[in-house]
Amino acid sequence: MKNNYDELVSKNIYDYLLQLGDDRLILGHRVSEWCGHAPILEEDIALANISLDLIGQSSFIYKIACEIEAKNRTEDDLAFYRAPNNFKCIEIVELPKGDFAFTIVRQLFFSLFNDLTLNLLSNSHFIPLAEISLKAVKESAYHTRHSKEWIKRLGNGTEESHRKIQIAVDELWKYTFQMFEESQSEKLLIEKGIISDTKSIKSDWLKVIEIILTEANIKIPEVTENHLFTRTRNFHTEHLSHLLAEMQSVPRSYPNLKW
Amino acid sequence: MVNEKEIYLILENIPDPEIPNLNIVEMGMISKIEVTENEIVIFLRPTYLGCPALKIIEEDILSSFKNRKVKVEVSNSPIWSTDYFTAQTKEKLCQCQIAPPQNENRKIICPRCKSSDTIIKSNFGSTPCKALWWCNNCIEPFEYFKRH
Repeated sequence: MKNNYDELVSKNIYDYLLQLGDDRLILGHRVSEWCGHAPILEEDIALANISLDLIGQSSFIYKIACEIEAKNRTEDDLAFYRAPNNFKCIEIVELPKGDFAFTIVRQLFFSLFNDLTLNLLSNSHFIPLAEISLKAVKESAYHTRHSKEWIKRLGNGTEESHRKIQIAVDELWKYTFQMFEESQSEKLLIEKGIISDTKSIKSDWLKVIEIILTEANIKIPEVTENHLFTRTRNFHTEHLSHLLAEMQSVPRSYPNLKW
Repeated sequence: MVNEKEIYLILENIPDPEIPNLNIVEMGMISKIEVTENEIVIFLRPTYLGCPALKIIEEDILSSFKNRKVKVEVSNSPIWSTDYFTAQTKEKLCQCQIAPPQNENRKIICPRCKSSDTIIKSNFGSTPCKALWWCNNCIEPFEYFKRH
């Protein structure tokens, strides 16, 4: 790739791409765990499709990262040969899949965040990122629609379905704060005018979520932000290592193996 | 030196692995072709980023041009859209009983009986590009190619 950026900017673009790719890969892997286990066949297919979209997005983002890194690495190297402490994903994507309510609430929270982020990035001055964002946002909007419909249906459904959605919202809410924490690389790219300011994402996200949860008759928990919920992307839950151990086991056992 | 037209003729023989009634040109997956003296570069754009068929299509293209130096570039610029489908492509989809993409808020017509008494069963289907619908007239499910 022709790269007109200096070393510092290139390094930060690379870091930022990793954080974008890691969020999507790890969540994609988590969602794939539903394959064969979803409550109904249609949802099994839906979740498998969403998972595929997320993993596809991560793979294309990693590809750009590898090009800018220019060390001859591939997207598979980034996915399968990095240790947990080198991942830059947020904690919400690492959490085990939980029950269907937990998965669907997490999908709503992340998909909407993904939508808003990609929308913003589709105006990036770093063209490869703008192109991929323009493409991925269409998929992501579809994911948001899917989880939104479920939240409303379950929130207004039976006593049990309502209870389960409320429990999931209560549990996941605190993890959403980290989505809006500006990373070092993000900050630098904004300063350099390579991506637009991401600050509006939080208020936009809250506005839409409030509408959806109100329609679903679900209460927004009262949680105050504290440092534990807004840690940098270098901290991870214990669940990430377990997930990676499983995801990376085959390529690590048989490096360079081809089908 | 071969011309673009000849290359398209070869590409038109490559079926979409998931919907074999359509070829990859009809699917709008070829965005550009560059022919130089030494090389042919074919720009392939993915339908969905995670579509597992992409790799297979890349390999199919390479094996269709065995005797020539061909490179496949996967590119999302410009991005793929079902808006590129021609009337003929949509007709072919109907023939294999897949309802073609429709503009938002328009009725999805059953590809079998042409009834508009249809209802969505699932936003997702057997491949990333399709959704599952149900025809109240046929009392049968059918696939709908999502507008994207």
